[in-house]
Amino acid sequence: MKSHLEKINFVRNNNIRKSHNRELNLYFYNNRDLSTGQAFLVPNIVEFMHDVTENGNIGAIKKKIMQLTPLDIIRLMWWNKFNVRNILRKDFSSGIMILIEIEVLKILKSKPLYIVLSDYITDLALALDNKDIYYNFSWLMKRLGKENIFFTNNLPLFIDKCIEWKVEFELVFFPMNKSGYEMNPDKSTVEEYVRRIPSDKVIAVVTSEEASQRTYLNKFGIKRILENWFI
Amino acid sequence: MYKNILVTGAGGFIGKSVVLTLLQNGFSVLAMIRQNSISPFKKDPNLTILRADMLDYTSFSSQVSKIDAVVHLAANKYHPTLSYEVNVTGAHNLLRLLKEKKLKTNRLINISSQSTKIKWMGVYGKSKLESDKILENSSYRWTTLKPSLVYGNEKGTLFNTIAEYIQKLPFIPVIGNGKWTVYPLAVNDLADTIVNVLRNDQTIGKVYDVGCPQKVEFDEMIKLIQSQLQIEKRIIHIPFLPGLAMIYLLTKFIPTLPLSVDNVLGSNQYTRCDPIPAIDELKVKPMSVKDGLIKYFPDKDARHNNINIAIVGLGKMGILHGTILNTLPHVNITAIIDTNVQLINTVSSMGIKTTFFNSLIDALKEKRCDCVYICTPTFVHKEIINICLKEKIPYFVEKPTFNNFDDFKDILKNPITSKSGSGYFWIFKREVQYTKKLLEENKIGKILNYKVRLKHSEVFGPKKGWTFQKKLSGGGVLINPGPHAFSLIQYFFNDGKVTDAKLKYLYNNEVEDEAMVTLEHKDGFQGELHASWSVPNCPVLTIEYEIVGKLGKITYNNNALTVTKYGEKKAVLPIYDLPLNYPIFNLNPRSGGDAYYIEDYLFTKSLVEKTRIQNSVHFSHSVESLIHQAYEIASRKN
Repeated sequence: MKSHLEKINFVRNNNIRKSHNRELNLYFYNNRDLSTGQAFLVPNIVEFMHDVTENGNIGAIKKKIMQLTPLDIIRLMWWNKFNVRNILRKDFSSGIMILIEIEVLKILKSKPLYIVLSDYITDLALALDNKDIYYNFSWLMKRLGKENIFFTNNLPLFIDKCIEWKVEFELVFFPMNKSGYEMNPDKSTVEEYVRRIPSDKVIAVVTSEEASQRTYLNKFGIKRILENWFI
Repeated sequence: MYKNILVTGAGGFIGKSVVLTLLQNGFSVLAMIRQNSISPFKKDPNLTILRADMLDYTSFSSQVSKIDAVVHLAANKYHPTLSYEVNVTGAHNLLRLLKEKKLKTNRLINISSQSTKIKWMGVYGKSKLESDKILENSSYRWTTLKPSLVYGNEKGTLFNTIAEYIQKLPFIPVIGNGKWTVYPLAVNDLADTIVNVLRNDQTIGKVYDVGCPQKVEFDEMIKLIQSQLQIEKRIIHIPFLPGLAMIYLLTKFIPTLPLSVDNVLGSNQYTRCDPIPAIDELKVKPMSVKDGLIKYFPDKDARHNNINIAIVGLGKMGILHGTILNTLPHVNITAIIDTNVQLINTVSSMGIKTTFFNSLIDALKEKRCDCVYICTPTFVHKEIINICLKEKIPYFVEKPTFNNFDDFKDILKNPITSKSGSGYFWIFKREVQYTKKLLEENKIGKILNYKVRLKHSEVFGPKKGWTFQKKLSGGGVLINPGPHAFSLIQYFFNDGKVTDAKLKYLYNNEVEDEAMVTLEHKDGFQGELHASWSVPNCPVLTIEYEIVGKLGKITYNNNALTVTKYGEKKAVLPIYDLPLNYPIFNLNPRSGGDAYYIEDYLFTKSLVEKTRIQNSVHFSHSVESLIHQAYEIASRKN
């Protein structure tokens, strides 16, 4: 039985890995129902904000760390051996990375297909002009032998910043659909930017499962889609 | 003469400018960029993107068909092994391509470097020199350009790196005596030079130095950048040999270091650079360094028309508004204020270029401020608003404005308050805007009644924190998320009056967890509001509503707006089919990111343009008046 949190973030995609020919589910981690082959968005900001409201920033992080096994806590400490000063100084991107690392440590056990940087963090870094978050996430994925994957709701700015910051990625999820929903700043600008990316790096987030979405996306050479994200 | 141009290294700093200049001048361009990379170019009928690797001949040979000339820019800088491979093997592969494709014109523009002319060369200089020899000894009609220091407005290039150091470091470290001379060249001028070379066959077989006509010493150039940025920092010279050793060691540990051994070697040796022949023969007019700085580093005054905003409180609302405001081109975040001094490092590492203060009064003494964003807990709003009124600075206050409704009395008549806004972002949601439009167009006729339901999964047991202490927060679900629901009622129907209110205390003794409120409006219709923050399975705050009119009804639930006109087929409009009239940056679609953006965009724009504020403090007064009435009636009943 899926929890509600999972249900609202449930995403079905039957074409994401053709070789696997199976569904891909994109989940937020919620401490339950993990199974091999799922893809995860990290970090789960909705859950974290709830924890912050209840326990404060430090309390929320502490709660998350306490959910780790002693071995994972050691691993987390090892990853951050040169980063202690930044964490103690409340460095912004180091704080975000700790949050991501804790969730990644929990998720790794389920051998995820993909680990995707959540749209909230991807776009927060864009708005703040904070390249360190992208560098640190890319470095973490490289260290884990995982692909560098982002989810953004602001593709044009994301592309501009990736070029400026020289950040490379294997895949990017972003809203791209016939109705233009969440294609920010507007549909035509997103369409113009989509043409700049190799189409095998693109996963379009669509609004419905209609065949007309396919026709629209085919114009841009986009083969992979993510459905039911906006439910 | 030459129409179709292949540009190698088109995705680089110089390449981008060259491609755009060629297109502007009517050429057709085949732009070669790295495999799997993002194209930095907009779609253009005269532009074709070729994703390939200079080291892998097969990756590009089959894709190149009709070209009349090549501008060869692809190079690798400062990598111990890759520089040689890309620069030398790349040159061989290029010649092989020209040979196999049997180009009619055999025209080749080779972009080299001043670093090929110094005595002690680094890996880049050596490999570029070898590449020059390969190309110049070929049978092709070549021209070689050796630019001096090239600058532009791209991050990571020398001028920008220096500008960043000037802004961040307490002093400017320079390896060597800083007396070496350069002829800085704007990247657009280099691109114009390349176009002129393509148009002038007299340049075939010649090598040109390219730069601006005026030479500048390195220290002098730093001072010019400082003067443009209006920041003065001391230049500290590090002796050449220790400096070289330090950079050599640092590059071993930090691969992304913005300075290389080649840079240090190149900048500390005399190079005879003479840009005059190129200027005369190619008829280019490179701009002076001063003009270039004005072009690429606009004066601070250029941003003086922006509004300067101070944000008080760095909790989640402070971060949210700070993030959105940072994306608005007409806004400068001039200060962030929080009583927690430890947050100084958080602020400096966030990315927003601003100054941290732990008191608003101190911030206002030091910084010009046109507006204060108040994102603190409700119980300190009054104190901060009073400072703003005293200093005559408009403010934007997060909802609810006050935990005690009587506090409005002191501020409503103040002219500053009429220029101020409140955080009722929900009214900017697309479904709300569309509903308002339908109501204004009288689509469902005279209103008969309505129901609003607010739900959230937040409280399922006793809770700690100021939100759950009545004295500090003013109440529970009605005054915490509740104002959003009341703001809809006020926005849609206006002139409401609470006639009944029941509160339920499920988990907290001080503040209510559920509320049922009945309202009556001037036109005689009634409405109901049910609010609860203890609804299971609702992780995101949700407001649903049903408005019943004489001709039909409007319902918003499950992310869809349903418009039913009696006797007609009902229209179901999913949220993604509802229009949004603003281009936005959306931080978080699941939590109303678009509405928050529009709220901040419209409020700051109305400050700049001195126009009416939609979610004004007077609007918040009318909303909070309903909440106040609900509490009054509920307390009388108890």
